[in-house]
Amino acid sequence: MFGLLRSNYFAPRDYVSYDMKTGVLRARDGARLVAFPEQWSTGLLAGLEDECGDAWPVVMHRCGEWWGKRHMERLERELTAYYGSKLTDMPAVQVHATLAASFAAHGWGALSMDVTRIERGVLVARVENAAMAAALLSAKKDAKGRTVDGLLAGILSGMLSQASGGDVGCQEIACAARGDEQCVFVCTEKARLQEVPAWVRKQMPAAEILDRLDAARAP
Amino acid sequence: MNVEVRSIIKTAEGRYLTSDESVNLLDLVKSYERRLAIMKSVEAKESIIVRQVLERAFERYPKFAGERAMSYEKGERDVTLVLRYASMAMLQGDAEWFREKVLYWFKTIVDAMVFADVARFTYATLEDVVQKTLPRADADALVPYLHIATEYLGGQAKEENR
Repeated sequence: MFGLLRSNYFAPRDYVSYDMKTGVLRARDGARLVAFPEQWSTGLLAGLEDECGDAWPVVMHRCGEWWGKRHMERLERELTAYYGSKLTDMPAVQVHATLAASFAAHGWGALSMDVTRIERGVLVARVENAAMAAALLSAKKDAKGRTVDGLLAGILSGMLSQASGGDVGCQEIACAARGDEQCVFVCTEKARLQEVPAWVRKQMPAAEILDRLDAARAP
Repeated sequence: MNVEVRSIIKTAEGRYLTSDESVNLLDLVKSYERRLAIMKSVEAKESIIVRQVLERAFERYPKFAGERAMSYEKGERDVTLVLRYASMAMLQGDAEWFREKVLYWFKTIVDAMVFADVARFTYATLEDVVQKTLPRADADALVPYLHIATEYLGGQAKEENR
């Protein structure tokens, strides 16, 4: 017979609680959450561009990376208690489903992981309704041909690095804000991603970027 | 708060309940005795239902019996999960809770395993076994929730995610 029979830890009605009197939103473990509107996202992007110039994606990525690591540390504690099993001992598909539910519960969008290149050391994450891209689209702001979800790329990088104990880099290679069908992120060893930002700036299609990464890996 | 109770209260915002609303609320409260009895009936038959479903599923997909480690235990766990949470959704009269609590999450796993066809067969079989095992009125209350699971988990995944 199986052990604990558990389902989605992040089901919204169990995961988020709201106290009207104190104005405090909390996650299931008691950690405080802050909801921010789309205007905040577009404001953050505009503010960073203004203050940091061309370095804005780096700043966003670093912020996301830091938060992603801390978020993953929390998830490891909470999910181990809930499922009665460490994340590293769970089937990969269950970890995937749980991370996707975590993303959705926190409002980052609908995450799906494409593991078809995992033997080649590449994980592809696709996100529908990614927060920053959706905010720009909603505000009808021009992404100027750029990918805008550096924060999310950093979050994925931080989470995967924390989970794997390695140093996983992540770059957005397609973005809904600039007209791509969905936001796509490539996650692999940081050293392999060095040329990717330049390819993205040239608006190289995501499929071609992935092929190039494959080719660079081939012996 | 139960979704049906919440709906009555929401409709009556800023006033007292009408006579009809009061009757509906009382009927709802009375219905819980029946719903709990159905849940007890499912609980009593759970092991029989799950075993019959798995026997038919492994007959239909024999390769899984020998191919995957602990297949029976995993199948038992998954079918039990859906049955228990569907029963709880029936108790609450809340299909959306069932989707949020189990189906959206479980579908990610089913799709990652490319198991939609297996899931469709397994949960359609669960509907069938429940109909044949429980008293008709009990089955009629539960099967609509199981059918939601069959349709959702058995639906085809998006091409790029497969």
